[in-house]
Amino acid sequence: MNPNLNLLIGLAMGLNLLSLGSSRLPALIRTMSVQGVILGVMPMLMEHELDWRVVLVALATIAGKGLVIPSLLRRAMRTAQIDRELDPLIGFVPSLLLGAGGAIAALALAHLLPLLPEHADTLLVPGALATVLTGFILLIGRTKAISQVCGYLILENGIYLFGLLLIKAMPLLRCRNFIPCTGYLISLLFVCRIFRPHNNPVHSPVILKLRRGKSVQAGKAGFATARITDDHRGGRIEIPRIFATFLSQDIDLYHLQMFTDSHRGRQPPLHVRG
Amino acid sequence: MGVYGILRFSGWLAVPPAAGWVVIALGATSAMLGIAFALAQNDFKRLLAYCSVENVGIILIGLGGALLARSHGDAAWGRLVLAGALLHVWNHGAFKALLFFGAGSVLHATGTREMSRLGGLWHLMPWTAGLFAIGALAVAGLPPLNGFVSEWMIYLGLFDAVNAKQPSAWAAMPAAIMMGMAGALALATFAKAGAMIFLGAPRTKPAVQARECGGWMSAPMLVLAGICLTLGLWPLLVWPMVSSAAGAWQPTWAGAAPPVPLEALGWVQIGLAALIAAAGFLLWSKVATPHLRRGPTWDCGYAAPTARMQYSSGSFAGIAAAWFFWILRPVRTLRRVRGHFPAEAIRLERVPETVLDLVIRPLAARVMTVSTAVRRLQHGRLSAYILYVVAGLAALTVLVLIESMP
Amino acid sequence: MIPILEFLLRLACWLVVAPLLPGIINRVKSMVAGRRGPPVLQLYYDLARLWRKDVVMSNLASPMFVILPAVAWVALAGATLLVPLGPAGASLSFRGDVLLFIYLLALARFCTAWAAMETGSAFEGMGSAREVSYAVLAEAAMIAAVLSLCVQTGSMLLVTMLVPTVGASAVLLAAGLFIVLLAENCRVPFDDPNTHLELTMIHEVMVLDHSGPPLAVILHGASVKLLLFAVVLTQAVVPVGNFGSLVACVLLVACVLMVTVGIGLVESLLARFAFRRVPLLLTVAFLLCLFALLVAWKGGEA
Repeated sequence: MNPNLNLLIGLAMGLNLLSLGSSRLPALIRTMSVQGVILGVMPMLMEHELDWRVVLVALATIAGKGLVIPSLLRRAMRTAQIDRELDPLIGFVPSLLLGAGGAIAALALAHLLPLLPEHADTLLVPGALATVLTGFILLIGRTKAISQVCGYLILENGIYLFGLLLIKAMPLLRCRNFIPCTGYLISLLFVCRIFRPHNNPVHSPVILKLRRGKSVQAGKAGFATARITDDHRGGRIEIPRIFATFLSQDIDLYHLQMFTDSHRGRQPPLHVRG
Repeated sequence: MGVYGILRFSGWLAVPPAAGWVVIALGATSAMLGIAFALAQNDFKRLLAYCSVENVGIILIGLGGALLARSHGDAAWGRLVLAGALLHVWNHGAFKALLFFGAGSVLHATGTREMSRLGGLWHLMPWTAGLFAIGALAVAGLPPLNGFVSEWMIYLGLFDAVNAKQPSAWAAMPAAIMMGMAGALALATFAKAGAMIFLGAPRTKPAVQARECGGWMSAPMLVLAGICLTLGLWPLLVWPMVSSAAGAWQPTWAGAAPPVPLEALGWVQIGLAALIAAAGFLLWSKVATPHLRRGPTWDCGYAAPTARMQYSSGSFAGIAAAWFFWILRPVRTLRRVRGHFPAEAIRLERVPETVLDLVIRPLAARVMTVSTAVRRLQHGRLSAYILYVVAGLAALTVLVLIESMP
Repeated sequence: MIPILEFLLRLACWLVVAPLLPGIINRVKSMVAGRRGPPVLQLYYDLARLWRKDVVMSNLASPMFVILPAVAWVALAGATLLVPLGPAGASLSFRGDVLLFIYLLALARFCTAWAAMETGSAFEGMGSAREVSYAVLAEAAMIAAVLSLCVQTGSMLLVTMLVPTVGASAVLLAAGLFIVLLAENCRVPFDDPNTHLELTMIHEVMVLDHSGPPLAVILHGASVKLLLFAVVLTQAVVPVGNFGSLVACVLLVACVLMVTVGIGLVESLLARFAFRRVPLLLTVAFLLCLFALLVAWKGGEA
């Protein structure tokens, strides 16, 4: 089983790098779904006796990660008419180099961890670490909400890989269902956040503030913040984009992006003379 | 001089094993960043100076490798890397001096150091152009000249280190890759320098009025070009000196036998040089018939082409320099046309003197402020000076008393 | 007597077979596009025709404009002497010749860029700037690939280095070297050899002002470079040397043909990338070669 397992994990690590380098949203969604399918197949390879429960969970994982979530994301992309090009905060080449460096470091450092002998020569732990790191790079380095959802799902793939280490330790049902279920719930939560405001954009607080005459300023190049200035009181609220959904129920990422997305990439400071 | 110091002291004194890692890391970084700075320069003398940073980086890679080899049981590849580094010191002296003499000749003839103001000087200064081209080939490390021989030895040593599968391989692998990238950047830098100064059409008046330098200026350049060619075609000539220096540094590496591939390389370089000369001559004789026609360069049918339409030094280097924007800090100036009628628009992107403006000038300003403040103590009044002496003595007394108290 | 004959035969093999490759690529592209396409031997006819023509030179160009293509050609022909042709071996072989191979290709690049800048045209400046900049990343990938082969076989001679062990390392190396081949030979997705728009060219625009025999020399040199990369790619991935003489020859020819058809298919199915995405693709090639190196290193340790 081990060579096949290592081959699949190697493929998953390759898909990590592919996701870091994709500049278009459909490609990122596709990469993430293929990675989910590959990882869904793995429990069937790791178990020596094929129980009906193992097959069921594997099929559920493949269906969820390979069909349901990508189709939801694609629907969101179409409905909200999101621009297909990704605007990176960390450029594509630096994020690719970071991901590759992380994969190499994970391979090197996995030797230092106290692993069970049966896990020591598989790529499980390095692959899991590398996938988690890739998820983090995507979460930090991309500005669009959907790409951050994809980053979160890749992170969850990495956690799933870690969970595979526990296959023998915990009884089937408890272990197998717990980790993917929490992952699905949180990712569905993210996806729904994107859907909600399209029902009534008029009530979005950003647009309300604009109507009341307050200004929404673009952040500095390279920083994903929006400053909503209140001219009367002189106070300022800085809301980092990535925490918007956690802090405030109403601020939706799509509209924020529309108003704050003016600086792309890293250009040298512009001195514009009139 | 600094390299000589490091070399001498590391040969005499006991050096901790970590020193090898530090030196090779420093060497690889300065090779890459030095040539990146050189590529972005607009002043050809600054370009040559930054290129020296790159070459010293390559020498330090060799030296660091030798230190690593020594700390890992005197591996044989250390001798190769050290010999490469020592030979590169000589080679660098030869081709860098040649390039600086050429640059001096151009400066003397045109009065400007800006590459984007020159152009087309090959016609007016053929000797300088040709000898600068030889220097450019040498500094880019291209066969059949001497730069290739020393870089080849360092590469071979690094590859042997990787083969030996010792921990030092983890330093040799990135060093070899960064050296490769630095070499390609050096090729780009000197293609740019040669092309901007000597090729194409003259961009401004000083370039039109240049004259070839006299014999006294050309003679040293000829001698140095001859040295570059000799060291490239016959590396075995200097091998005894290099190997005795390596042997003095590390006695277990003494031994005059040159590595066998060096001899083969020498013959290959001679063959290559001969074939190049023959092929060039044959093709030129085929082409230089009375039927050879001259005409203006194809300019896409533009009605009024000017010399300013050629690529400038900033635009040639623009692609690669943009990858290093984080350390080069280019400044972009933009003046758009406003209104309905055509007016002048300016778009200027320039790499400033980064190290000078962002590091040295602020530091120097701070040092000046502090020293100006201190200078107020030096006012020339004798009575105050005596007061300083008495105050110092009193402070010392107090200190001694405090020390001697139980 | 025999060594000289062998030498000449090998050299002739390289130089005569090389112009066939662009013909095959164009045929594949035509077939995919549903056309009949030019004959496979078209480049031979073109070279003969160009050799008979006169030269038109720019007012601004020096004699170097004509001489440097010859220098580049000699560099590429010299590189063919170093690369082994399967069981037929190489004419010249010494330790460290792989580095001479890489730097001969760099010499050819320098000469082409210098000759291009001779004309003083903005088009050539554009092509030279792009070519020498992207070569930096391609060079990093090549050095990583060479290191990977060196670690696999423990040798520094091209002849003994190109005997790979099949495995994950070979697959990664194949992908990385194929991308480097496309970049160095100016194929889609890096550069479109059929484009007529000077602003979108890299290699084509560097030879825009050449004509007659120097242009023939440049075109032949480019086809030799393509054959060089195809043969090196084949031997870096497929252990040709392990088989008997005849089988090895057939295998080499078949694999080079496969690489050529692959290039044709890539050219037909992909569009040229926007220039801002080229560094990304070359970084991917570098990372593939780097991972091949690490896998080979791991394999050597285990």
